[in-house]
Amino acid sequence: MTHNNNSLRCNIIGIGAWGPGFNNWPELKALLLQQNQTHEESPKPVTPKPTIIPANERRRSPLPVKIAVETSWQAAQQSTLEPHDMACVFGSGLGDTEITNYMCRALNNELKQLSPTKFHNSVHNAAAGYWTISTDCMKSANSIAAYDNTAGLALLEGLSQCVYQDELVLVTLFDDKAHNAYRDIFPCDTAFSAALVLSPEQHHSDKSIARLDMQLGSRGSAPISPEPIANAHLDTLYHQNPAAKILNVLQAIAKLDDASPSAKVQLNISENTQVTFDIAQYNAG
Amino acid sequence: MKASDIVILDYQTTCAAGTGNTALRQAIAQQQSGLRKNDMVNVELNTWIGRVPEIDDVQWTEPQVGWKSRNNALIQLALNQGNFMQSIERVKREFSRERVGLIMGSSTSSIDRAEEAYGQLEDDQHLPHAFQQEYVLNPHAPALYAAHVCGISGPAITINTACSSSAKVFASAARWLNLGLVDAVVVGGADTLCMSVLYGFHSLQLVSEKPCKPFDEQRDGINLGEAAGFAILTRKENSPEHTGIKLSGFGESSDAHHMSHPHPDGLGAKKAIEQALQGAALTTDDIDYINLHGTASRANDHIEGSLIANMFSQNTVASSTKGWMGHTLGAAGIIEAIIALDTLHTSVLPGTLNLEQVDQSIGLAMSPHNQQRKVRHVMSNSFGFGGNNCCLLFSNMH
Repeated sequence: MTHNNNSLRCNIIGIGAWGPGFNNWPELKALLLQQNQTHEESPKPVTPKPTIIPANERRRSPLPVKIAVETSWQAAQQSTLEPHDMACVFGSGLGDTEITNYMCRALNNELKQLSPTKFHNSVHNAAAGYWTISTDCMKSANSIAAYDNTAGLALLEGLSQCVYQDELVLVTLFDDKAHNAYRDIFPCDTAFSAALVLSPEQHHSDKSIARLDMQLGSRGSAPISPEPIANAHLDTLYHQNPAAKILNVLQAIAKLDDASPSAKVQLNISENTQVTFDIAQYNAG
Repeated sequence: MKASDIVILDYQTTCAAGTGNTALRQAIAQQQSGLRKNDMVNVELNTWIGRVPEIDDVQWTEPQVGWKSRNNALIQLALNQGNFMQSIERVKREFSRERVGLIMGSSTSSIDRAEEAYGQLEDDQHLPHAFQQEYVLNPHAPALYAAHVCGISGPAITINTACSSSAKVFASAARWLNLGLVDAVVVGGADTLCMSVLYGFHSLQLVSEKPCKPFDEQRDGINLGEAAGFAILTRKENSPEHTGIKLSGFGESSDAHHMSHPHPDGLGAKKAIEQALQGAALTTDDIDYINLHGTASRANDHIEGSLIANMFSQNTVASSTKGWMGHTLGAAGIIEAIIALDTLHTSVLPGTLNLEQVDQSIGLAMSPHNQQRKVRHVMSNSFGFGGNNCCLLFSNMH
């Protein structure tokens, strides 16, 4: 491995999605391929019931956990591989502001009484915890935050793990709408989650949806303007919800066809750096 | 893959037992605990805590006041110990701007500031102006602030896997460096005492009313503490000047068992330890010292202690150092990693402070006393909620 070549490659072999107007990747893909803007009222999302979480636990699990586990399960199903063979990286830019709101209110009450379940659900890695418990996964589980740059860094972290450890990695992004006083600082009013299963380049799979190459560089060098998202609701989601920055990548995947078999997308990962993704149709040869 | 040696250029710590490495070394050598009876404002719990009093001396003035939080004050305090900021300046000079990364671990981030804000909500709904801090009230706050203080503009991420957070920063940094994504990584961890963790662990009935006694027959729970620690990592060939200590292995795993109870047989922990040993091409016999997670909760110590007793021989010294500063949650990974790797320099292996009668059912030989012994390979264990485990190995390069 040379140290100067900082390009990483993997295959995407499963995708899951949940948000306003879509309950899975095929439905999101259809919206991303729409030519015309829609001006209808924002569709109301239907809360998923990920049956992989045991019923008792599911009742107690907060919405961010439900949507993250739901999309993770969809992505794993599409890959046709066992989720317990996948390491995982969960990324959320805002965390669970509903639980934080609950805790901060309770702690400013005279009694200062916290529900033990809500307390253990308040950890940022709750989704990773519920997922690994529900799927009997004993692999490495990560839970990361990088505010507006969460999507780019979760992919960077997932891809570096996939290449370095030579293993399957599930990357799941999720952000709930901002709750209560948090609305003053986070203008996010719609929940969203998406998940990708990444497979090392050498693991040839006829399930591959696309090939992903990632290169890290200075921000502003060779900038690529993000392609506008035609669907107005998705475009709002993309701008408001940190997890939904992945829509940029998902749109490029949705639009791959024989006429345009590759695309470039950039995501910021810090004040000064960005990752550039080359996304291409998978060619088993 | 041919991996480079990942070397440590510098490290610093701040916790209740000492502000800065020198103070912590002294506290360890003299077996001086930093734990005190709870005296946190707004916390009426009968327990002991590892509070860092100097946090209160940190002044916030314009234009920095927008970063204000207890957690950020602790980060600032820790970064300013020893020559750490000079070391940061050195890596910034030696490598290009976008090739110095930052990976922080935290559990609370700056939730202390949110707790305070909620005490002063306007119309019971809105954050007062001084609290409208989007860069502070989000889980990435520790890395955003540390990047700001250090002037680091390369890739920056915060790992929030509860009590394994700032152990996992070493694993991610090793991958970033070995894949050539960056040339140096500042890793860190920071967590401060706040109502959420004190009342949260109290709700789980895990908090002790006395100074914590890891692995003792009479242990009855944890003491919470606050701490921040930092280290700078690079590939060996990048820097001829370093501490002579390398990160020789790491292992990460999940329990797949329960959100707040460890796996009864320590299966996840075992996997992480085995993975770390395998990566370092070492066996259990090679490990001279283990800094245990050892929280002093009934379950954790029993499971971890029994596992270590089964896997390692009596030649390996094992101890929990939580009697010095308490359980510092998201900062525990890096604080205890640094305590472990510092023994490669000091040859002082800390005992298990507060231990009176070791729990015989565990079967692990332990002592409250420090030992003087030259060591070559050391290990640090960190386990978190959600069944999240990380094991780190550090080795002397000479």
